[in-house]
Amino acid sequence: MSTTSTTAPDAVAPARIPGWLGAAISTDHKRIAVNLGACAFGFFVLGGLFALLMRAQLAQPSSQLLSDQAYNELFSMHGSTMIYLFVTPMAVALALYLVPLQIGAIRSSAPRIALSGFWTWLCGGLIMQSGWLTAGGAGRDGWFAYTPLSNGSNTPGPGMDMWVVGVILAALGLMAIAAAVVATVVRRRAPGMTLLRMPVFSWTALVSVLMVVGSFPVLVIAMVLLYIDRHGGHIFTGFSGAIDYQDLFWFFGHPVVYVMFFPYLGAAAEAIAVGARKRWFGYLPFVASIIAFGALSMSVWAHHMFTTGGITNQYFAFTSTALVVPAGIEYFDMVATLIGGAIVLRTSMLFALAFFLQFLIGGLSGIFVASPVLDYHAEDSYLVVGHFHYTLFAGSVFGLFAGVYHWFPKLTGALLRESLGKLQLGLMVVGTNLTFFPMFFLGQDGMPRRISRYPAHPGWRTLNVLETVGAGVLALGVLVFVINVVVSLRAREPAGDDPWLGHTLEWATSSPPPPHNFERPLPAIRSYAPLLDLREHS
Amino acid sequence: MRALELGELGFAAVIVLTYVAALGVRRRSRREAVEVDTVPEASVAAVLAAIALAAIMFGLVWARFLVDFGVGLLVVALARLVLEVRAEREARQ
Repeated sequence: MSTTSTTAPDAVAPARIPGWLGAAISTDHKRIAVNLGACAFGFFVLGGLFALLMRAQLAQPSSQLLSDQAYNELFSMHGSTMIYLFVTPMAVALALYLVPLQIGAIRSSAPRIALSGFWTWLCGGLIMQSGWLTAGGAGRDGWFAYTPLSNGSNTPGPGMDMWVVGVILAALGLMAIAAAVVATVVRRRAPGMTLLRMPVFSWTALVSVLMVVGSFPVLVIAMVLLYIDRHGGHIFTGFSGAIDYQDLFWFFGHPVVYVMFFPYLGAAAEAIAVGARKRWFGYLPFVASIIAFGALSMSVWAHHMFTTGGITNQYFAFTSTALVVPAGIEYFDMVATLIGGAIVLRTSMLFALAFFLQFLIGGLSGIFVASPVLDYHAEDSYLVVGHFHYTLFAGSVFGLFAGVYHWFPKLTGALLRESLGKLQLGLMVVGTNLTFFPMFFLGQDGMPRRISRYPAHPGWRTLNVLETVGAGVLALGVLVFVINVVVSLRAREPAGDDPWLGHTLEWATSSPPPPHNFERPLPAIRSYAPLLDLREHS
Repeated sequence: MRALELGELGFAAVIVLTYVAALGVRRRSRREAVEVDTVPEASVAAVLAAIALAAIMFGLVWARFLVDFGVGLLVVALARLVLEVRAEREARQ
């Protein structure tokens, strides 16, 4: 089947409108993805400021900088902002921008749904943050809002309701965009682009968006029920009510951890394969491992509830520990890709390597907390905080920057400055490990999480000061990135269409890509690396 | 109870058969040599629908008038969507 394209007449569907308005209503998947990514980065900066305030409070054992309630609001909004408004939407934005290009599609499917999804998500984020303007303050029950803490009696006020409504809208918006990406993969692959010829990143993105479509409806249901409960519905009552809520929440809450991991894994994998000038090693086992990873991750949710006494610990310990098998395959593939490669240590490659090394610490500490016996000791301590920040920040955010440095030239036609990139990497590696590594020692020593003041135990203050300094270094790293983007866009170094000798189809079009993605005929697609095939054959 | 189970079985069979029939129709339509694909460049309706939904939800928490405003906006968005889709269909022909 061949496809020709035309545009709807100007009388109803507006012609291309320049400027901000045109960008806001554009149905081009690239424009929507850039808007989503830019807004998500804005929320990242906001969530980072919340974290800096928390670290300032914790630099001293009995600091009076923040009240208990302000601290509760800050850690709740920090987690909510980072998860619902930064890491997850950024992963979806990468998928929406890159998947149609990588599979040779001239556009995405369901562009209106994707556009509507972006605006729904953005309104949700703004409503969630507007809780700060209410008299009672913003949501303050963590990013999970466990009942009965979050019910109408224990957390009254519109701020918490705004949090609930914000989460519902953000989840609905991301589901809509994810559905558009799934439909694009199903319906719009170029001739020759079979599922098993899709690039590594596209596979990670596909599994990720499938998990969004599969698990986010449960979050929406949980939040609707919570809203009704808060307004006299009495849905989550007693012990079983609390467990029911946690089951619903974590059925979303654990898969979303992998939604926040897979696309960044894919981005790091692409950066490593291109930086090593080699085909990604073990494509089929990698794809199988991603699918297995996705399936397993939908069956491990209650490992967050080991200490509740309301679940079967053995089953969830088994499925959680089984995750090391697909993870091991991915690490094996990464190392094997590097072996024998003509490695070029560009910033994207360095971020990808840092992603794999630092995520390893998060992954290995995950094996500890996947064991109920050890989890009883670690539950609600800083050890858990260290674990998930090594997966989500030291892992995912480094994978994101690997992707940003890899694909920025494709998005803008300009190269980012390598020197500033390496400075950013250095600051972020130092800052990350200074901030999050001491958390393992604090947690092992019994320091609870979510407290605004702590007893002056020997060593706790020193470790907390180190973490606060680390957070400042991290903020500097992010600032260097912003400067890099501004400098690179103002004094542009033209990138050309394919500055890295890329392997996949997005490098076969101009930088930035035209409205309908490809103006030249696509090369023959015989594998998951068609441009590498072309180079090898010539 | 037995009648209920038979009813459920019948319903499941209808769903499966409908799905198979839909797949068959889709496969036949794929045999067409050329499919003209209209690409909307922008959609005000999609943005308005999202803002309407957000206004309704926010209105539940904050102020009732936002619910009414959101419902009105949703009607406008849906009307606009009908016009956009109709224009696309005309462009295809």
